[in-house]
Amino acid sequence: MESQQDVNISSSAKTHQFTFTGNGAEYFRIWIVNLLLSIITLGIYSAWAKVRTKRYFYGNTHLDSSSFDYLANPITILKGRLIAVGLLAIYLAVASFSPGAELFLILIFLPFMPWLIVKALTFNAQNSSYRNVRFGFNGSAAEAFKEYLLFPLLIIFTLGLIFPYINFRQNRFTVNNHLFGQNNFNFEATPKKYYKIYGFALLFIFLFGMVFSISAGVIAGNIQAATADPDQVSQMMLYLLPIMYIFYGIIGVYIQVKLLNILFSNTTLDDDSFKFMSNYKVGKMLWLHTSNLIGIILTLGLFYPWAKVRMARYRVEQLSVEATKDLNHFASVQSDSISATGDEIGEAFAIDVGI
Amino acid sequence: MIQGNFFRSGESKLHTVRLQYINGELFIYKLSSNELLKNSSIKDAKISGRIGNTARNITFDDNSRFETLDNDAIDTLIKENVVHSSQLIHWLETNYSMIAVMLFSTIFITWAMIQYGIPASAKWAAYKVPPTWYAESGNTTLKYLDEAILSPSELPEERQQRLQHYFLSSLSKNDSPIPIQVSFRHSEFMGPNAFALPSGDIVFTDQLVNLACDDRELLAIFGHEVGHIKERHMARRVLQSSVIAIAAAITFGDSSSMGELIAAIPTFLLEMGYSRDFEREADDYALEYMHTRNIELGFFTSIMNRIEAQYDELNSGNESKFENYFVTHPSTTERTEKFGNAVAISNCQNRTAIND
Repeated sequence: MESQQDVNISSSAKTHQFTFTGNGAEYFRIWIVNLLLSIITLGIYSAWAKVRTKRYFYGNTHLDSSSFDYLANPITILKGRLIAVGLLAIYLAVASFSPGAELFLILIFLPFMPWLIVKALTFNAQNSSYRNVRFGFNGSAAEAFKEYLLFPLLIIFTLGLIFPYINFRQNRFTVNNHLFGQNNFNFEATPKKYYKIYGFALLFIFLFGMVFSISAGVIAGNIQAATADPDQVSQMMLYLLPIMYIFYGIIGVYIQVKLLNILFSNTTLDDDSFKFMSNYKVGKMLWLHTSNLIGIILTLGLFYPWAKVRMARYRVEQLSVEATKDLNHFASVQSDSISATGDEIGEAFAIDVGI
Repeated sequence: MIQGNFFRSGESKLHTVRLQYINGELFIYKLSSNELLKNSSIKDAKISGRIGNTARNITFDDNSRFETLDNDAIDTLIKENVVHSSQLIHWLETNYSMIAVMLFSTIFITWAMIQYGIPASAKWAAYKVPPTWYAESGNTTLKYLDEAILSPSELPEERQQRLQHYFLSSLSKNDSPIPIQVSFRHSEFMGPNAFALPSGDIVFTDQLVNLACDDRELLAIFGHEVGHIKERHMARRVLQSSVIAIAAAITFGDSSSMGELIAAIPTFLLEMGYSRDFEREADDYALEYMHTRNIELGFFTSIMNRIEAQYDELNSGNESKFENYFVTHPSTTERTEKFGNAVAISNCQNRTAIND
């Protein structure tokens, strides 16, 4: 039996597709129970709700006849949440009673941000498992300080030209420091790819800006010639504004999709034995965002669980891993449990770490 | 017999197994070879709670783990062996009449909180703050506004002092525990306007003073602003929007950008609604204020109508900077209704042009 599997290891590459089995109606019921219990316990239950939600989405994500699991202890999350709420309350009180002083608070808080990012990534990774083996994160706060504060300072001096490079470095930092069991993930993208994405985005914005201002000018000229009423012209400009917002939304989704593809398609695990691939499409992602947003607005929020499931299904099912080994040989590391504080404070201040 | 996967402690190696139980003992056999991989008392095993149809785990004391998608079989195992495993939440999640009850309770509680709970508790909290705290808080705000959108008043010194005296002498002792101060500023940006800071500072723009045909019109506005201060509207507004923002973030917040947008929409809309409620409250205070001082209520209507006419005029230009005003305030028609008809002022020399 065992020897048969050994033969398989050296055989040719096999592609495993990630699959998602959650459904909107089922998650709606979980969501509404979470919501009501969180309300009547004045937010205390929200820690349990978070674990339940994560377990639902992780548990419905399958790869090669097993599924993922989220193992965090709700009590740890609750403690973190209480600290985060306390900090947020202090911030809001200061911001409302002496505007300007919150800038000072942000400056105090800022040096701790890299530490929080590392804590958040570590907590999340250590509490995620697959096949009884936990993930891990071993980036240091000092490295994070460099990637998230020091290098970004260069943006000012380079007129933003270094931004794609910084984006690349941050992704490399996140991926390279993640572990599955004792095995490292590896990030193999080049800065060039990031420059290409942002370059195209900039080109689109430039072209759109030209077409937009020329056509707006022509239309305005025509209306003014026809009616000689400056009121109508300004009114029309008001209608053009949403077109601009929609365009920026599209560019935003374009960048999001392309960055996700770079991130996953250049990630490998265990010395190239496992290569990840993602195939996200801008059009499909735009459709999902738009239809989800419309659904949520029309139902005053009740569509939210379906929206979340639709997005998760797309995010999961466009992902696959090409393996030249089987998934049987990973082993855990023993490590101390970590507090959720970093995770929760980070969440409260909306730090988005990008995966 | 329950089929599933078995993993030894800290090993990703997947063994396809079957689980059997007899008299509270669990046995895990390899499916292909019938080799016994694990045997444990059910008391030493931790069975995970059910969430939808996601895989169920049984974790043993040596951290080895059995995982299966056969949820119903695990539920039967729990029932037959009377072991502890929290199934209450799953019962709520799958009981359709409970779901209906929960849905309607959530909608009802949300509505009641927005309508009554949040405003009432913000009001309670705002009054808990000692008045002296408010008095200390406003200086920086005014300084900030002075740098950004206000410039020194161009009204004659004597006119300023006369108005200050007129306003402050109209105050009675119990109007506001926070001491009221009146000042004037020139502001193209704000146009004819007046605003109150939590510290008790009330600022009139030159544009508003010049728009008035009678000082009693300005006293009507003064009464409205005193209402804002006395009722602690600024603090209540901050408290209310913080609570809403946190609640929206918890409900719809995942770190995706779409989640932020979705959370921002109700926050914005509710803030607008609350702002209009505060304006109504301040109007009521102005009405009371004028009434007790025997000032014809119509002065409020006349100045409000003139302000609106002025905004309309300014809006018809290319800029629409005053559009926001009508989002945060109820319509002038609605506001002036309780004050009755405008006082007819025949000889209005006071008004000077404010458009450059």
